Amino acid sequence: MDIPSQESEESLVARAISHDRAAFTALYEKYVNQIYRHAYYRVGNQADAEDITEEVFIRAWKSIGRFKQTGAPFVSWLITITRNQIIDYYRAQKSHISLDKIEVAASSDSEPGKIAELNSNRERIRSAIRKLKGDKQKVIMMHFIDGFSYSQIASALKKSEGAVRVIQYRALSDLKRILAEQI
Amino acid sequence: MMKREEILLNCIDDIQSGKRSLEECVTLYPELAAELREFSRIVMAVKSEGVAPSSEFKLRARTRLLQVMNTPEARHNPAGMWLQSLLLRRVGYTITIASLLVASSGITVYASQNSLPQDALYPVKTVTENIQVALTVSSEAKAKLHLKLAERRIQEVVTEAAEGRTVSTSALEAAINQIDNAVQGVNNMPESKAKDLLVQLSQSTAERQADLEQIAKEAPEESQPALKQAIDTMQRGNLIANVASENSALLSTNASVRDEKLESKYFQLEGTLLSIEGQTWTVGSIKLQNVNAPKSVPRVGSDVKLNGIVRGDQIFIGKLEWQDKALEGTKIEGIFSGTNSDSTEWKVGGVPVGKFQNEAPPAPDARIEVKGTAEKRSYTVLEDKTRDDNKSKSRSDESKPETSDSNKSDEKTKTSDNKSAENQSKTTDGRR
Repeated sequence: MDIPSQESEESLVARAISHDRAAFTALYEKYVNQIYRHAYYRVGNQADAEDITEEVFIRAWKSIGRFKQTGAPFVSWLITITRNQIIDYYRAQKSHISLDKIEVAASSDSEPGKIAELNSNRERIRSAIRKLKGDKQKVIMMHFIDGFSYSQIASALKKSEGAVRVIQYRALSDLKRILAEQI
Repeated sequence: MMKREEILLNCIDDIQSGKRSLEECVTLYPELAAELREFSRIVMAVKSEGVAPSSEFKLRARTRLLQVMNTPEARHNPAGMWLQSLLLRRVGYTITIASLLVASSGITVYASQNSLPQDALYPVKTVTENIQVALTVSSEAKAKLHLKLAERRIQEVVTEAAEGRTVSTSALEAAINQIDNAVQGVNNMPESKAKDLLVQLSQSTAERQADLEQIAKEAPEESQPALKQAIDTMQRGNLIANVASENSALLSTNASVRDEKLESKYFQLEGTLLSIEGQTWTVGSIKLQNVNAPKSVPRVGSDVKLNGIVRGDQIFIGKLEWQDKALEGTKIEGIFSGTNSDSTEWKVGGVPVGKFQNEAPPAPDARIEVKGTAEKRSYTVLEDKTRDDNKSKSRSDESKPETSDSNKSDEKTKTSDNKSAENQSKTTDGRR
């Protein structure tokens, strides 16, 4: 069965739930970049981000029968799987890094003393974002890294759009302060 | 939210979406200039983190996903075993590389040669092939190798089907890629070397298309999209090879098997060559504009049979035969590709052919053969040759009186002229 280019996500997901491979492959094509970006941002290197992204879609395919359409974007379910994969990944590495430190683990290889322009200093930004607490980090990640709209973030976090915008403003203010402290 | 915060976020969103520039926002809200600049820098820095995966990775991950989807037990395995599989895979990569190193003895590689996509040694086979492609230098040898690998992928699918396995979509996709590579290779080859390969390509794609159509008859629905895609690819490869083997100018247009409109731009035409004026040929009642013909051209007045592909505003004629004996009219075969705005002028295989005043247009993908005369420009649909058997059959059943099985069988062997006689009742101007 062909995938019409205009087919809605809801319809694609419904077909994927019934193990329609073409539909699931279309969802893969649609979201692979987003999932990879999320994974890369979290683990900070290409090889692990690729492994995790690959496994996210395989796990999603294996679990798709249990997915319930509740109106939340399908990609938020994929991102939940991604987060779990990342936690499993670090656990399985048997590293001594605690789960709390996972959030800042990737910043450990930042180059000391390098104070460059913000847009060229990835590790500083990554480290600063990881220092954001709770929903602030999620909103920044979901809006600017994952490309979610405010309404999608609101739906995923079960908050109003206004509340999401307030969180984003506070997150940006915190980032400004954290980055200033780093200098 | 306070108004100031709202303004800042709106400006940041507008800057990100390109609705407004930073400077426009600063001009509008000078009291927020410092904060706007700071937030904008932070957001740009955050977004610069957005890296894209490589296309190689995406292809690899997609291929693995397809393999997993094609494994029946994949639906039942507990998801938590992924890491074990990941580690095993990494070990597997190492083993594969080690195997290739050992392959100087030839044992592993030899043993992998008959493996199928689901087999453990299959990765050894494909990695070996990739190395072989990488080590092949000449464009001619490389194109031949791609063709050979496409045939090998289809053969694997044929074997899978014969053994009652689910056909591997990854093998079908690989076959498509290999055919695409082969055609691209021919496109970039000197004309003198391309001819032999085009003949091989024509024969190979026709045979593989037949193989796949046979498999598709029995394959489950879930395999049909991949099979259809592969069949279409073989057909396009065949059309390109058929025309380009007679007229190598087509190769300069980079015709591709991935061009989904290619079939609808292919036609076969029969009629009397009434004139050649520059690049405009008149065959019966049909004008062919911007003709790019093979080197040998028939004399005006001959009855010609030709095929061709329309690329952009040019018509590339491939096979071209002619004879002195006069035909009774003009005949063109191709996929019905639309009408003009008032639905009176039909296009067949991309070529405008004339008016069908009293006949409803066929389905957009219908393969039809039509015949008419130069004087009246009125046409008869001789046969609807739509590839979809069922569709073709139902149309055929609707338009023809019932016949016995033996009669139906006989019809297949009749010439177009005979069919013309049978279908006189369908003449568009009502002639009998």
